[in-house]
Amino acid sequence: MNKLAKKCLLLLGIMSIVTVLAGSVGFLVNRANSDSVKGKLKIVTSFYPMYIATMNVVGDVEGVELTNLTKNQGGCLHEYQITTDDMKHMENASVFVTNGAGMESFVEDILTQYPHIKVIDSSDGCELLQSLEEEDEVNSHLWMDPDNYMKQIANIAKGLGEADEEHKEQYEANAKAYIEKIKKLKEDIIGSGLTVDSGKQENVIIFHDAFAYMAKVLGWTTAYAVDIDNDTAMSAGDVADIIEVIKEKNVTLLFAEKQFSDAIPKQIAGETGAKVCIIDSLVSGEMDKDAYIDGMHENIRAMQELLGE
Amino acid sequence: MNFVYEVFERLLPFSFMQYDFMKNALIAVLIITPLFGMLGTMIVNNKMAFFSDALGHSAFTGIAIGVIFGFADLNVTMVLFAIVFALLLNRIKRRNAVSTDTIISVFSSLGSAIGLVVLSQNGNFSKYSSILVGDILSITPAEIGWLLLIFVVAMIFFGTCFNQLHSMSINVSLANSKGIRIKLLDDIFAVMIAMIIMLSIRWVGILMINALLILPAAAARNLAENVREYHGFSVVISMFSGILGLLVSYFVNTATGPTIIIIASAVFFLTLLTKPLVK
Repeated sequence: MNKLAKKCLLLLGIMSIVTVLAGSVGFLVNRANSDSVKGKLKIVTSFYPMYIATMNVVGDVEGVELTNLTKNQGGCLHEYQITTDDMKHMENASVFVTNGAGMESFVEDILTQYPHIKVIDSSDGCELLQSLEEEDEVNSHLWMDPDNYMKQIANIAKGLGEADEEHKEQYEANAKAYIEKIKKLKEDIIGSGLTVDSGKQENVIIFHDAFAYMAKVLGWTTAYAVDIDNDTAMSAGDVADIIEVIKEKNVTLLFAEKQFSDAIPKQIAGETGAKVCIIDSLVSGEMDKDAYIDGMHENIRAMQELLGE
Repeated sequence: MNFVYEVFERLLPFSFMQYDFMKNALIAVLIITPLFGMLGTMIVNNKMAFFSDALGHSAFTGIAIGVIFGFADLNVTMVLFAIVFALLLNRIKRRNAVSTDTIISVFSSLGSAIGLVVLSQNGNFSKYSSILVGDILSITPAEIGWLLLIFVVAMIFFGTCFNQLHSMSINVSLANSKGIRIKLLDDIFAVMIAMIIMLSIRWVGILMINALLILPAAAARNLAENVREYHGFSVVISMFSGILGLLVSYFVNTATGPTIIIIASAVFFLTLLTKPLVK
């Protein structure tokens, strides 16, 4: 055998080894997240809060497959980048549940490619705040206000009923039951002794737009919103600005996001005497039906603890 | 374009071929990897590995310029800037005032620094983080058109200038004595690299692009004994890594550029190990 043939053979061997290796890795990974069963109503939700809400609306209705598009993506969706896996989920979906209000900008292009998908915009009819981080944009974290969240649940139930007439009544009954629970949660918030009506008036700085709704529910004033829902460090100038605002407006509380590092809020608190309260914007967590309610209770507890002293 | 899609669907009746983005990606891989294989050998021969790396980093500034002036198609500013960058670098390099790798390093850092300053304004860099690792969904049919054009131009260039380029890589003085216009050739080659890198960098990723140029050539070098084998092997390895990497990244749901690099690296190490068997 001449030398060149030998080399070609060797290269071929190497390539087959690599192919087999890569193939088996692919096979193993693929089997772990195996694909869906046919003949079901496939509902895809855009992200965690929508997943929890839809999970409650769907309840134990049979023949429904519920998938969350962005997995348990930490942080907010604004900078989410869609993966090939997401495209595959979208391809099979019949209903897509969105938060709306600009939260899902990352899928707009994709949805035009799949006209067969029914899109539910759950923000329909909700009261939206102006974004404090970005000018001329609405604050899309509306689920943080229980009133809006209840409307979202109703919208989802309505949309699912249209897509799946057969189980319409079940969806509505489930939604009603869940809304009752949220009503109870709202009463708990009002009765927590934190609201403006019960004599508390705090000026807060929020480290995530999501908390503007929280402050609104409590009747507190948002003095300033800091945009650190990305990984880039803040510049020294920004930090100095915030400290100035705190001194000027007599800010007592800093709402820091559980998802992100609390190093900057802590540092600012250290310089000014304001307190840091770690709040969960409920964009990730356990895939549990009561995750929203538990998370909100946890938030109230965190504030009570801080202010109770 | 629809016709091409249909051809691919007929030829490859697999589930992944039903997605347009996968068709785009496969076409791009089929065009770009043979080019990378060819270019890679030249870059390794001419000791320009660092140069192509610096060019990759200049993509930051190219994108930043596009963003500042509000271009809808960032490719335009990226390619233009990279060409200017490459020519300027070549010019300063020829003055011989500073050693080559120092001047390339300076350009590389400046190219990334300007881009990073602009893109990270207001703390928004995460919006652009996909250019670091690449985003397969960013390949558009228009881009494929450009890639095809470059492919043709590059093939013509290699067809006519291969021998000159080769003698230049062996010895500059020798090439000079043969009457080769070294400066011109060097500049054309640099511009070519700039265009090819810029049009594939957004799906391969800035951090990965240079590896894609160098690895197939390096692996081929382990086996090859003459120029023909060297180039042939390099093209084969490059295409193999590209196609397999794309498929694996689809099924395992990983970033495509890095997956291709891992496969190319595996081939490199295996050729390194088995080299004594054939030489």
